Amino acid sequence: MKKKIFSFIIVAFMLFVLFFYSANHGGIKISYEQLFHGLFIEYDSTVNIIYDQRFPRMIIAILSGASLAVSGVLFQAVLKNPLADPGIIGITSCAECVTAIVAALFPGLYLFSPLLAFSGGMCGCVLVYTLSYKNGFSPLRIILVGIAVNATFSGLTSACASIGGQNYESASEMLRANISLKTWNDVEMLVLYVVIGLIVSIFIGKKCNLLSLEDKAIRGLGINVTILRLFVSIVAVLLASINAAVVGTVSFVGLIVPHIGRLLVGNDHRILIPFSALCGAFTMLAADTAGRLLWYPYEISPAVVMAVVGGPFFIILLKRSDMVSGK
Amino acid sequence: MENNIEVKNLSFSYDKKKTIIDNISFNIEKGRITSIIGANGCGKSTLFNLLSKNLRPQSGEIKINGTNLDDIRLKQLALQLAVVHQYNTAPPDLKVETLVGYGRIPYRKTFYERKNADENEKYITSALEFMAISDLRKRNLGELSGGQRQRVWVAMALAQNTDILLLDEMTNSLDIKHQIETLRLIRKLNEEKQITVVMILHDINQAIAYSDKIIAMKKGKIIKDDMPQNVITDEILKMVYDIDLKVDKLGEKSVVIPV
Repeated sequence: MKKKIFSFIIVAFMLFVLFFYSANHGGIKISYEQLFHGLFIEYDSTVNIIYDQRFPRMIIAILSGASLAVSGVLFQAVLKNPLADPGIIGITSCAECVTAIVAALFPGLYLFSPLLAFSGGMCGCVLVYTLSYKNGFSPLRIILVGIAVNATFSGLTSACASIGGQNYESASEMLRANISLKTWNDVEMLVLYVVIGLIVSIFIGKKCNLLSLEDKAIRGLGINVTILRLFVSIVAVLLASINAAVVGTVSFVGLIVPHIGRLLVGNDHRILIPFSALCGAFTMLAADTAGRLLWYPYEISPAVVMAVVGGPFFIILLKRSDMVSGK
Repeated sequence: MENNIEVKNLSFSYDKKKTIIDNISFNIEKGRITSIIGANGCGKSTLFNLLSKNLRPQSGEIKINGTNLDDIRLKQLALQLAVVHQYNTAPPDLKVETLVGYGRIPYRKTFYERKNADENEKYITSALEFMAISDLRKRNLGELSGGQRQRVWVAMALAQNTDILLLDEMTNSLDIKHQIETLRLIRKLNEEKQITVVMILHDINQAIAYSDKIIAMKKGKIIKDDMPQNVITDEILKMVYDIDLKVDKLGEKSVVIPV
């Protein structure tokens, strides 16, 4: 228990420090006093630029990291597969594809993009589940089907980006998960869905714990496994697709963060879910800050940073899971 | 004699080509231990999945305590019948008492209800005591041996406080000492709490020793459903397993020499 509380405090503290570090470093550098003074005491034009341009992307990174990590935990619980990640199994690319197609054909529907992304994500979810279900979910089959679904739909999105004419920008930006030009409007769009999704997730932790038993055992306790699985999936898809709509594809956050979470706080979802949210926020903000500062004035998208770091991590996880099952 | 389970003309198949359960009928009497024996793939486990509503019968009827299984909701069924399946998984850092506590879930009106904590506690404690694992209560599942873990799963089923208990090959992965200990506990459970037990067993001698009745199955059909001494004979074993086995007598009881 001590280790769990300690982990919470450490990660929260690291996020806090990183937030202020990130706010103060970049194209414009200011001191902490000036930032504090400009934010809370009186108008300061430099602080105002930071507030308008750097804060939205930081908050988006935080919200998106938290929701992707939790979405990963939920998918892993539902599919009984520690390698599931909304990006890897193709949910995000389906959500994005629908958003991109609609954005290209009906630009006026921009405001509905979260809902469109959600419906796209649900389609992807149904597709992956039905194609990979055969007397239960085989971990390998989910990943293979997911890779195929992912490739197909990100291909379609690229095609959309190429033929989309004036809306070319939005679709290709989504693919690159570029958050450098995000505004407070984007934050507003993200915050409502993410907060709802995260609150619901924290409350379903207990149900997620049950999902780690065999389906037959859960049914033996009088619980309808299909409905339970569907409900948790909807929350997971909501969190993943709202990200796809506002940020774009960022893979591996939903994979790496829950894994670290399990090592630090264990498998109890009532603790793992809030911890992953916190840890995911930190990871994504760190990825964005690193991408922004490492080769200034060139920027690397957080998705690229996550892909470079996450790829090798995924391979290590694959190797480890082979050793665990002993096959 | 009252029946807990009545099965009439039950049939099941996954696809049209192969019938898994072929028009079988039998009754499980209240307060008895019934063992089901048969070769691999004869439909024993499928039968359990039908009884526990994990599969839907193609035709025929199952009655649990007089009510048609179709009319019993999953949650109500969990109050009457508990199953320990052959394969079980749980996170290694799950506490024994938490897992056994899951057995009380069917008694909650809503998932988050915290009422009746005392009553739940009472059943959890007595289930742990009965399976002689009270000392493991605060331990994590991953720290336990196979035999101890098997007892935890039975304890979870006991916490459900049902009058019917289905056990699917629960002694399979255990050594002989733990096999016998578990079976003795099952016998004690049946005698002291009058729980009706239906178990799938591979060891014919254990089936003879610990059951009141044996159902012998082959290819989805019931070959014989009777007292152990009437089921375990040279001819029936030859029919069920397709192999010549010698049945001897050891005092009153029949003994099969499985070599």
